[in-house]
Amino acid sequence: MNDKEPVIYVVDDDEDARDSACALISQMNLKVQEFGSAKDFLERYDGHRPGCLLTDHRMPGMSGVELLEALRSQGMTISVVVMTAYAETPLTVRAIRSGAVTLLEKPFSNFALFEAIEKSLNEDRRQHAAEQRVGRIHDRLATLSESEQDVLKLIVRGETNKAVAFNMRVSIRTVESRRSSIFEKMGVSSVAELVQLVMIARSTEAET
Amino acid sequence: MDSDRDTLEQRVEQRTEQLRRLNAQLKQQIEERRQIEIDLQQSELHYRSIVEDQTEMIVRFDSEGKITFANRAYCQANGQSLLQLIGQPYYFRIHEDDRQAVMQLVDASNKESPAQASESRAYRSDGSIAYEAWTGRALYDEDGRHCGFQAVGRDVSQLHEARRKLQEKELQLTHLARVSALGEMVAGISHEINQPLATIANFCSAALLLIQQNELQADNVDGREKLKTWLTRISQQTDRINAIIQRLKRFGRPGGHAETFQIRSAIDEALMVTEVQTRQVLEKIEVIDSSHQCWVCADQIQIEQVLVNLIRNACEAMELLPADQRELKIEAKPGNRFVVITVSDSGPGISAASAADVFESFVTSKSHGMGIGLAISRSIVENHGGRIRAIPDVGYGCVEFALPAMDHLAQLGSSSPAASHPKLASQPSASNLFDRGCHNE
Repeated sequence: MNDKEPVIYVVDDDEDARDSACALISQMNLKVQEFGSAKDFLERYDGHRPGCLLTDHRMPGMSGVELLEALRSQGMTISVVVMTAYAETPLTVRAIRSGAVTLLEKPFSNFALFEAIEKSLNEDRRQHAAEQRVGRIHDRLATLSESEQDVLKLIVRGETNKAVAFNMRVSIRTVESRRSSIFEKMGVSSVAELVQLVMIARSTEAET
Repeated sequence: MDSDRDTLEQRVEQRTEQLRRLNAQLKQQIEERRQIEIDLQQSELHYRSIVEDQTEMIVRFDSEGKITFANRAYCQANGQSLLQLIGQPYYFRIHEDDRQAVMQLVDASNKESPAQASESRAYRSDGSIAYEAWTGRALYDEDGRHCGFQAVGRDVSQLHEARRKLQEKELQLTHLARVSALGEMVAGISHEINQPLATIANFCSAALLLIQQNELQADNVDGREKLKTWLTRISQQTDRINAIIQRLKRFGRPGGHAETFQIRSAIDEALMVTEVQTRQVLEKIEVIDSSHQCWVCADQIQIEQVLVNLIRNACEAMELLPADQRELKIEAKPGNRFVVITVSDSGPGISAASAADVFESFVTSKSHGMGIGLAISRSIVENHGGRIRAIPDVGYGCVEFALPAMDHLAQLGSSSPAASHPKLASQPSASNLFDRGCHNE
C-alpha cells in the first residue's frame, strides 16, 4: 500500500453516524479508519501523514474540541474537522482558535464533506511540508560551530564584517571565512536568504 | 255603743287600708309582668332579627329530615317562603351527586361529635348550581332524645371559582415550566435529532454515489447488498427520530390528570427525556427499584417533570468532574405510607445554608435558566401531598421526595370529605385530595 495515501480518521461515539460517514467516505474512494471515542483515537493514532481527522464534538468523556486541543498540546498538527449536530458560536470560536480547519454541521451534504476533506488534506500536506522545511533549517543551524553562531547572530542584526570583527575582537579575515562557512552550511547565497531562514527558525522556536 | 261603733269604724278603716295596699301591690306586679312581657317580646324580636338578617343560611329540620325552621337567607336562596318550606325534606335542593354524602354526614352526627363541616353543591332558585359550605349540629330535647338538626351555611361559589382558577393557573405554570425545560434542552435535542438525520443523509449520499459510479449492475451482488444494508439502516434512523419526537411531544403536553402508575415507569420516561443531556455527561446511570412495588396515584407527567428537573440538575452539578467520576443514582423505596424517591449525584452537594433556599423561585446558581425548576418541583410534590428536600453536607448531591403510596391513598379516600366528593376528587392537580395536611411525617 502506498505510504503517501491519505487516511481519513473518523471519531464518533454514535455507531450509526460513524458507520454512515465511513460508508460515504469509502464510496468516495478514500481510505478511512474509525474510532468510537476520542480516547480510542489518542491511543491508536500512529501519526500517519497525510491525513485528516473528522471528529464529532458532543461525545461522552472527551469532546471533539477537547480532542483537538489534546492533539495540539502533544505537538500533533494533523488537520482536524469538527462535526457537530448543534453548532453554537462559542464552540465554533473555540474550535477555530484551536486550529480546526472547519466546522461541519450535521447533517451535511456529500459535497460539503468532500470539500472539507479536500481542504483538510491540502492543509495537512502544506503543514506537513512546512514542518519538514523548518526541521531542515533547525538541522542545518545545529551544524554551525559556537563561534559561527555568534557571527550569525551579528550578521542577521545587520552588522558589517568590520563591526563584527571589532565586536568579537578577531580579524576581518576570520569573520569573512566564518561567514562563507555559514553561507555554505545553511545553503544560502545572500544575507537576505539567511535572515529569512533564521526568522522561520526563531518563530517556530517561540511556538514550541 | 259609741265605743263599739268606733271600734268598728277603725277596723273598716284598717281593712280598707289593707285592701288598698294589696291593690297597689297587685297593680305593681301586673306592671312588672307587662314590662317582662315587653322585654321578652323585644328580646325575641332582637334574636329573630339577628337570625333573619344573617347573610348565612340557617335551617332546622326534625329527625325525619323535614324542615321546621329556615331564616330569610335560606328562603331567598330557595326562592320560597318559610311557609312553603316547612315540612319539606331538607335534602330536596342538594345536588344528586352530593346528596348521599351529606345525608351520611347528618346521620353520623351525635352528641359526641355534634358539629360536621362539609362542602356540597345545591340548586339555586334559578336552577344554577352553587357551591355551599355547611356546618351543622344535632339537636336534643330536655330528655336528651335526638330531635333534629340545625345547619348554618353560605354560598362559597366565588371562593370555589377562585380556587379552581388558581389550580388552573398552577397547572398552566407547571406546563410552562415543562415547555421551558424543553427549551433549555434544545442543544441536546437538536443533537439527538441531527445525529440520525446525519446518518440518513450520509447513507443516502453514499447510495447515490454507488449508483452514479455504475456499480449497480444486475450481477453486482456486493453493491446490492450494500444498498440493502444502507436502506435498512436509514429506516431505523427514521424510527429513532420519531421516537424522540413522540417522547418530547408527550412531555410537552398539558397534563392535569391523576392516574395510578408505578414510579419506575416515570423514572424510565424521565431518563429517556433527559437522555439528550445525560448521554454527553454520563456513562453510568443506576436505577434501584428492585421491588417494582412503588405505586402512586398522581399526574404522571408532573412527577416526570420533577424527575427531569432533578436529573438535569444532577448532570449540571457534575459537569466539572472527570468523566469517570460522574455517577447518577435514582432510588425508589416503598415505605409504609410513602414512596421515597432519591436522586443522588457525585457532584459537590449542597450546604445546609442553601438547602432551604434552593426551592425558592428565581434562586439559581446557574448562568442559564430561570431558577424555577426546583420551585415548581416543590409545588408539584406538595400538591400531591408529598414533600421534597435537599440533603445538605453529605459530600455529594442528594435530593429526595416522598409521594403518598397507593395503599395510603385508599385510606385517605375514606376519611377525607374532599376525596369522597366526586367533583372535587377529580380536580386537575389533585390538590384537594391532599390539602388536609394529615400526612406530615
